[in-house]
Amino acid sequence: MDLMNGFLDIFQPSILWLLLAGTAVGILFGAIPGLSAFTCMAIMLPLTFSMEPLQGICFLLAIYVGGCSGGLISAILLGIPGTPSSIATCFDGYPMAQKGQARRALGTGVVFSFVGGTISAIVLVFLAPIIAQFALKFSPYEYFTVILFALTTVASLSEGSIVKGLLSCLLGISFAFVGIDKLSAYTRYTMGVHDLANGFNLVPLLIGVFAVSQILENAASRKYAKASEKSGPSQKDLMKTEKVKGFGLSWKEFFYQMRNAIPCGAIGLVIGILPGIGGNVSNLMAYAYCKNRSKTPEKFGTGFIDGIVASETANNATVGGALIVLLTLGIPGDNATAMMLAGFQLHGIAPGPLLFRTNAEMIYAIFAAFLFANLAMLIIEFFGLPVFIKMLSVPGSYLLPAVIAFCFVGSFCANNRVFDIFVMILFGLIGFIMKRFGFPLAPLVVGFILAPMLEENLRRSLMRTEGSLIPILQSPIAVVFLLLTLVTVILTIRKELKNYRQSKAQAAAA
Amino acid sequence: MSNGRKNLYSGIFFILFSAFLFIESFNIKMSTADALGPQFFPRLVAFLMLVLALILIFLSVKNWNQAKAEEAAMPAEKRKITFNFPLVASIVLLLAYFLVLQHLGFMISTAVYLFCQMFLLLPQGSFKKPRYLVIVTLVSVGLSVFIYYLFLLAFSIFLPAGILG
Repeated sequence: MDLMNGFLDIFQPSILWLLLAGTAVGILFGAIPGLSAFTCMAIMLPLTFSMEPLQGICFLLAIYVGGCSGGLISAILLGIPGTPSSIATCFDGYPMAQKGQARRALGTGVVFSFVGGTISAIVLVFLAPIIAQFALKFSPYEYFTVILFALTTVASLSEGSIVKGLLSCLLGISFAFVGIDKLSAYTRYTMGVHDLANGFNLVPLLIGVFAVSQILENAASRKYAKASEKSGPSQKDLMKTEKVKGFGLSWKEFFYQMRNAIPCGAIGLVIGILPGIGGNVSNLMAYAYCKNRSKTPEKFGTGFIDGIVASETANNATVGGALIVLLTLGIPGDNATAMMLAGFQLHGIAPGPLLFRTNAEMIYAIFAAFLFANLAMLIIEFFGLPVFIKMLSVPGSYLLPAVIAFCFVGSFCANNRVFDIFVMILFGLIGFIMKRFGFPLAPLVVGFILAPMLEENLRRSLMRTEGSLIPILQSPIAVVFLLLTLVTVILTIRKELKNYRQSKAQAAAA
Repeated sequence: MSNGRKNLYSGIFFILFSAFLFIESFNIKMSTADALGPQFFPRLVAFLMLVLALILIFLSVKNWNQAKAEEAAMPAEKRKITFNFPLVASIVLLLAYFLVLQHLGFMISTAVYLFCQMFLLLPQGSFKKPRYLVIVTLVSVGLSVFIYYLFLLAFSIFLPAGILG
């Protein structure tokens, strides 16, 4: 019933238009290699300033949905994943296109993106209120352990070693110290710089770490870039070689593929819930799962439709999973959800369990918008295909600087301060250097966002218990999350030791 | 640089950074509002950072031979840090943009920035080709003007106007 009200809330021309437009630009950015849902959200964030909160959030959400799916277009036609979440789509999509089945591959990808998104949306609608209900009862120290668990998961699941992940996370936490301490109202680490009194703003930090670092990387790699263009049949020719009706997929095939799609949707969902990994990993995991389970694993990689189903269902299901954690606990898992969080903050809304109580109407409107954006993606991606394909030929050398120009605006608008442009450049450099030295960036950002919550909850709970840690250990929820934290760390270290020994054995053998 | 060397350097950086965190924490005013106070968390983070940095250094020193072998196998150009013109120029360009933005205004600064940045990303020698020169000039000027008026007219967001204002 609440969901019906949610649909009624979004069924007004302005929101529907924003959802359609957001999905379309999201797909476009997803399709262009090197740009992602995150980049698109960073560019579009300043546009949401003048919107109503719900409009702005729906718009960002639609971009997120579109961006997660758009990568399949370039993955299938060019063999280059448009975003890391469609890497596995290349494995079978590109061979299919080479065999003259481009339309069929694209159709399948689009349909199962929709299936994955819808599966996760349904789970979101049913699961999120339950989790929020549960989370509402959390006391500060229970919340503290949940955040601690989220931080260690990000640090240990991101690429690179756990030591580096944790260091990156700690660095992010230290950046969050700058500014006014909420509980005592004294400033910390401002070094007398007046502009730092309010701390680093999230928007320029995010843009710097993920977008500016990218342009520096591209500039740095010009030296090694080769001028040769990719040869082979042009994308237009690939599209012409066959005639298919609709999505190029019969109902029978569609239902047959559901046995792949449903477990892959589940994989995507769970990975989305775990902070720190997201679509980049879920598509590869789902692909590996289907390949292992298949009776004909040798067909994978030769242009086998199951491969596309696995990858595309999983990456779109991840979106719903990530939204569950963001909406119910206020914890962002990756760069795109961090940007969503920034969108919420711009409108003075803090996602979390309380939102379900204070503004349930908005939550259900967001659910409805998510379902609708998935549908919009299905339609737009199918009918708009020729336009997206044309945009693929615009060279990145023009696009990236254009992105940065919009990023300047985004950083500036967040607080109307020129200083924030400096913050953006500073974090661009930090992000670039960290990537060069093999440090993952997601823990830095998630650490930065969660640090105030972590510290506040711990200090508040110790205020309540008058400095004693024992009540914390008496709460079953807190103990469970502390144990989970410990287990995550131990398992990651064990896995790394195993990999280390293997690589050493290989080196010795070679 | 090999991974071992990278880890060694970043470990040293993090030790210095944790020392900075710790020393700066003495400049925070004491508060008795809560048991831990505003200094506790930064110090805890500094301590954890120190431990992790030491682990990183320990691991990289332990595998030093492997790192050496890895480095020897690398092509000469990747082994050392060489002066990378497009990279350094891009950083300088970004900082210059920040410095002149308030004086020259959004439109002029952005147009100049875009013009330079695009040539830094295009293959070397593009600057001499008239075709690129025309495209890049049109795109950079057009885009800056477009963004400025888009935000001004559609969203009433005032970007710094500078000398044009």
